[in-house]
Amino acid sequence: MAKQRSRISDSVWTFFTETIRFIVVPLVLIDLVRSSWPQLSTAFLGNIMAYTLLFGGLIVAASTLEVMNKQGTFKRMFFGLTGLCFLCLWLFVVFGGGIASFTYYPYFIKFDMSKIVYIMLIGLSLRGLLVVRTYTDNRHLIVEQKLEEPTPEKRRPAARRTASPAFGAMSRVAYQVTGDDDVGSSTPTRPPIDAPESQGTCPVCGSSVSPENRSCPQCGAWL
Amino acid sequence: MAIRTRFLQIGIALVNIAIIALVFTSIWPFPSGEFKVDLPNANDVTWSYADGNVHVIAPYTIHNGWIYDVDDLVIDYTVTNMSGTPLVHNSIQVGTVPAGHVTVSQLDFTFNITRLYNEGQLGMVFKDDSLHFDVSVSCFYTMKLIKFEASYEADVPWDALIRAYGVSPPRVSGSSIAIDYYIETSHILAPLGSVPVTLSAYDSNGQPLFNPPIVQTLQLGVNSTGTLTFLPTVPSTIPSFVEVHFQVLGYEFVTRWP
Repeated sequence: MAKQRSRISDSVWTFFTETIRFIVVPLVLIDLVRSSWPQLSTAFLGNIMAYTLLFGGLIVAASTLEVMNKQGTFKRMFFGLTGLCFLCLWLFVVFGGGIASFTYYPYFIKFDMSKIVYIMLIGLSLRGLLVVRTYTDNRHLIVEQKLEEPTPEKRRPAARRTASPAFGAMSRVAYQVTGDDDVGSSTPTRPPIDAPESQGTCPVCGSSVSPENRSCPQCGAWL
Repeated sequence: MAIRTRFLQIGIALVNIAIIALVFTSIWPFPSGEFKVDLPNANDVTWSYADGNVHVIAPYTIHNGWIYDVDDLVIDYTVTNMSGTPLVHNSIQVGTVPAGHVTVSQLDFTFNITRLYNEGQLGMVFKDDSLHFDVSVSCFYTMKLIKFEASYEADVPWDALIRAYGVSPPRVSGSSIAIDYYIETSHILAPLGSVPVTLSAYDSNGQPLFNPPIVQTLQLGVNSTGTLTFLPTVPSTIPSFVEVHFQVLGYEFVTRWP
């Protein structure tokens, strides 16, 4: 239960930090760059805000889902690699494919640093090795945990959920049935009734009564 | 197993740090001005004229103050006049500019204006024009990982070589007739000093008023005036129509009175 809570808090924290890293800060920086250098032009600059929101949101979602799953699970690896793909797309879009032009008449300047962007993408992709490595390292823990868990048929909660009366859930003693021959002749065992502590006194009128009497001589109450 | 993962993390981190360093050192020189190309502007262009050729010199400077060499630096330039006629198209292979060096050079080209004149494009000889410079620079940076291209357009005013000319009404001076004329020429012709101008005049019938043509000396680069004095073929007759032909620097032009 503690681990479950920890994963949820990790997910919330990841959601928060990744939103800051891949949406909020980039949008602020992009706005700053666009306002400072309106002459700058890149391949995706026209819709850069929408693209940043889209791919940033996908990164946040994938990262959050990655953290929500245990290490060694396929889902965690899947969301980790998916998030990495979105991160590469995000980087490619934010950098405009590595080609930027700057027009400030009569000057026109063009940078083609697409090779640098590809190197950055390769560097980012290396993180995928870590995701896969984490999966392979922790896979056996998940397998062992599954082996230790009871099979679903033996679980009591599943039996309790059935609509019909479940006798198996009750005590066996309560369902001990006498043999057919004993039916009608056997005396049911009853728990002994404690003798009332006020045996010498009538519980109704309070007058003293001898132990042999079955009723109160004064008020006639049955003892 | 954890150690191997740790090593993997460290390796990835080192690679990423190296990439960040590479990106930073590649981009930084451009906004910081460590790499800078000063292309020529209109004020830097110098002109000269000789033998029908216009010689143009436009200096440029390339600053490479950062840690990477500039490779395959090529400067292309095209010059056209206002009517779009290409005057010159050339390419300069500068090559490599080593790290920390400043390269100063110049665009140096000539174009033959007499050829244009002979081809019927008289604009640049008799009318002010504008020469459109289209200069582009391309090079590689950071071990050829970054390609840098810059282009620059500049319009440089061109003063007509022969800006104005004309004649005054003929004057009778005794038995001779005098015609005053003026020619204003471009300042880029001033270094040529005085050159001969050949003058001939014709009447309305196309008959020469004198023979042979008169040769006078004309000071170039300023507003020159002169007087054409001759004895008419028909004495005491003031021509009602005069056509004066000039020949200067190989250019021929005509002005008429009235």
